[in-house]
Amino acid sequence: MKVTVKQWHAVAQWRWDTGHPEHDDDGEGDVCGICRVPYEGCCPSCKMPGDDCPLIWGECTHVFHMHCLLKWIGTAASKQQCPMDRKPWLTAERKVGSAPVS
Amino acid sequence: MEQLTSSLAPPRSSPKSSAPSSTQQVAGSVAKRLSNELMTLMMSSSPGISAFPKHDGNLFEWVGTIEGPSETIYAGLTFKISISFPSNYPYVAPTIKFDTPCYHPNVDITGGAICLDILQDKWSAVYSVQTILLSLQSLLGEPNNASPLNPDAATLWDKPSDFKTQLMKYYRPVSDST
Amino acid sequence: MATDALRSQVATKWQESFHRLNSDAPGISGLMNFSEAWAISTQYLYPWDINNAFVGANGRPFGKDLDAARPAFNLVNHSRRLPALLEIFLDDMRQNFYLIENEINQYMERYEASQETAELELLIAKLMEWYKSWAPPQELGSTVFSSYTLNFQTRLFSALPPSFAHGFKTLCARLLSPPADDLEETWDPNIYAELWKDFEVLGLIDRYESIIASVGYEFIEDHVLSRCTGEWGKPMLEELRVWMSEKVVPWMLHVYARGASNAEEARSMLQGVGSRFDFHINKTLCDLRTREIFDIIIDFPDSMGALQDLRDCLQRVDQRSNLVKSLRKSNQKRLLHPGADTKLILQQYVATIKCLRIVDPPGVLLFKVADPIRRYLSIVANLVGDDDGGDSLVDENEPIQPLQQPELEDYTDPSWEPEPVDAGPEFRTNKPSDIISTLVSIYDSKDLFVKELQVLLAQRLLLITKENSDRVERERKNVEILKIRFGEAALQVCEVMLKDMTDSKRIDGHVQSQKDSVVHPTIISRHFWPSLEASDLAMPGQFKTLQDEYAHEFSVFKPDKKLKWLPHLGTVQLELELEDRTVEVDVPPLEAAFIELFADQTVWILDDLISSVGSVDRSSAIKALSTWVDHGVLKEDPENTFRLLERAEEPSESTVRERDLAALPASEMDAPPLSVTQQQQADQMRVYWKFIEGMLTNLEKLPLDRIQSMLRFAPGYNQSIEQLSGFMEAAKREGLVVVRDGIWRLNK
Repeated sequence: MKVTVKQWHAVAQWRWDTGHPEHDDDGEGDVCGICRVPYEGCCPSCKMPGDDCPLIWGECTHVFHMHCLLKWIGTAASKQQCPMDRKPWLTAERKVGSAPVS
Repeated sequence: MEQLTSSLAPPRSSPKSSAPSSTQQVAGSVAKRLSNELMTLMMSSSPGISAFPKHDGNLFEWVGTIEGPSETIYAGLTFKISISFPSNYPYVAPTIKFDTPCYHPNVDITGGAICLDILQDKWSAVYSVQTILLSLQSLLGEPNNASPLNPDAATLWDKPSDFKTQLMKYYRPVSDST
Repeated sequence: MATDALRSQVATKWQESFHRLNSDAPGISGLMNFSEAWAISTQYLYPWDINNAFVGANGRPFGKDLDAARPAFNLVNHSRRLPALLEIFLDDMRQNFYLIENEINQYMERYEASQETAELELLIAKLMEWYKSWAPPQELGSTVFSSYTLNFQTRLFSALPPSFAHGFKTLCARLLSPPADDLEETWDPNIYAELWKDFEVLGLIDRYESIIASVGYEFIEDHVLSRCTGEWGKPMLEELRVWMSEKVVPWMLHVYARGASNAEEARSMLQGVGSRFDFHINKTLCDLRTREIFDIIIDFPDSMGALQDLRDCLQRVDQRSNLVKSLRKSNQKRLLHPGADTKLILQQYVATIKCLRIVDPPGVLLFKVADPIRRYLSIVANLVGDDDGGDSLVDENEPIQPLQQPELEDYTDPSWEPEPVDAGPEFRTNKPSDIISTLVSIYDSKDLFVKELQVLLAQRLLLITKENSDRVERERKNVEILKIRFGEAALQVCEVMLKDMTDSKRIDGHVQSQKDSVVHPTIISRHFWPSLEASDLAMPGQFKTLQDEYAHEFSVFKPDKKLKWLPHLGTVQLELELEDRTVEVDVPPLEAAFIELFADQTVWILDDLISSVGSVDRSSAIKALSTWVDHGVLKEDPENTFRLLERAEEPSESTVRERDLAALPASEMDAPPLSVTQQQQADQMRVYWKFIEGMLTNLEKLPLDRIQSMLRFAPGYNQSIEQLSGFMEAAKREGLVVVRDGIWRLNK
């Protein structure tokens, strides 16, 4: 017997590729340390998750909703430090803004 | 009265006004985070620390309870604190003070103000009520005598029995009707 | 002496009587005259045998010459002996009534043999003949006449056998309805007027009043049932009233307006009974429609007429609780059983709402009927409109209004009405506006309702494939309409779901342009879709390859994202090339996974199949495999071993599958086991306890009502204060809390 798939209407979820192995894959997932909303949710100032409310990666490997992090960095109290480790914040180049590979 | 009226007439959404104004939205998102924190705090079992909103319908004013850590001079004592969250929380730290008089080098004995770095210049948006309560609990056993709000207490710290006498002189149990 | 006194007293009496009888005539000639008059009178006034009379010289029955009798009566009357005459007459009647009794028995025997009411008509005629023949003449005055009539009727009633009542009822019924061969239009109920008069004369109408009334009620019932059963298209009530006035009222006039001298008088005499009969029409129709209500709702909107009737009847007849009972019962029996299709339930639910809004605008009935359906359905209704239109809750012809929360009653509103008396305490008047507001009011809260909406929308969106992707736009339009009602914020999640649909299409377009794939996934946002049940299904063989290839292309396109497949959702279109045939089918993923395994190995045992696709429960596996058995692609032989049929076999053993399916407990097939919700409840109670513990730790002591209001900080808290009270009492028994003067605190 030969089985040919003519068409497959499948269903999938998208996930941010945070580079961290996901321990509880079907649970709530990791949350942004600032707003406590899951990464795949959206930050308090957004309505749409995903590309409209992207994540931001620090060189220190900490990840936040971009909007949350920028707002934090904008406060005097932050001293431009990562809220997690209080090292100076440096945005990692590796994901954000990279163009699709053709 | 105002509360009564507002509960009887819930906000009506009309096509024009249904999008929340920016201030409402901010308050909403802070309340959301606070309710999230409350849930986390209730479900975690951290011995000796707890907090809960003071009044129904208001998530911005909490009462906290800290038990003195065992093996410290505060063991067996319970302290009430009040926590007041700003509207731009967590980007700005909450205001915290002791309601139970606390004889401690970093606590103002009359006003209850606290000198703790994470509540001032070391505040971070990733801190939470739980972090604060844990820090305060450990502050009881390990004061920072370099920047005292209560110089007398800082001086006495190395004389535990004298310190304890002072501590108990000021201490008022939360409720005496037990 | 006493004897002398007595003697003289008797003598006086005697003299008195003598003088009266003698009429002061000379000697005893008066007495002689009286004696003769008495004889004539008693002869005339005698209950004679009319079938067996002597006929006198004048051709009249012997002694029945009124002209001759009249002077005699006058004399007897003059002598004040009329009461005695009557007494003797009534006594004679007593002795002779056996004549009539015999006659009655003969007629009744014939009637009982033939069951022909014509025999009864003859009997009535004969009785009338007896009655008239025995009747005292007018000259004797009305007292004598009415004594006679009363006496005659009393004896008649006791002489009539029990079977007469039944026969009389049949006869009355025949008089009310037209003869079978007569046309209804030309039928004139007045042709029986004489007979009704006879009934009246014989006292039968008074005697059998309740029987006659029951004839009327049954006649109405028969007509309503034969005319209205299953006739739901137009209102029938008015037509029934016209029929009543044309056919029943003339009959009623004989019974209830006898003796009326004019139409006006007749009308007022009919008023009471007319209202009872009209009530009976309403009641009969109401009962009929109540019995039919389930099918009436199915037929909606073609059954509009029936619903209007029901509404009008319910205003006249208090049958609302019966309607609720009936609808709940038939819903239970015909709708809320495990085999019912959910879509059907939803359609009937929506139709029920629409129908009950017509029947009962205040919505009390709806509140009572909808409750069990609501409990049965965790998903509410087909809330978001369907393309077939029939079951859409979003009526585009209705003006769209923002959802109004129940308002305080405005007593100055001229159209304000009190709540119906059967509105229970739970009923909250939600001024009828549209179906969605009604649904929201029966659903505990707007939040819960919106949640159900999301579940429903999610289900519908996941059914959308590449072929019918235009349906997304329709859903979007519906969400726009619902947004006006619920506010933008409430439906934000729906917005995300819709955006996922369009994003998926765009992403798929890009991926396909890079590398053709038969996979066209719907890519959804975590946290924004109602939780879809998890699955450990792992797609084998080429499916895994297809998934990986697509996921790779996706990550190339969106470098910061990756895909997590939900393999149990969706559908697969397959083509199976077998030695002698090609099978093309659309199947769920589990079916596809199984058949893929058979491509490399033609015989499998069930347990190996299950472990080769990750982990699925046994009943789902058997169900999926039986799909292929149905298609004649697999065969189960022996039990739990499945073999690929490269060459088709006669389908002879489909019984195998039935055996397996029948062996499954029904609950596994139809509904998730109940223990899930019980577990959830226990988990929730644990959360609530944590909150109570937290608030009592920090706030020290609280009365019950404050605990209740503080518990609103716990997400999803929905217990009543009574439930909370029970919970606190339980905690007290556990020694966790103490209470004094209604103030609770932790037990430290």
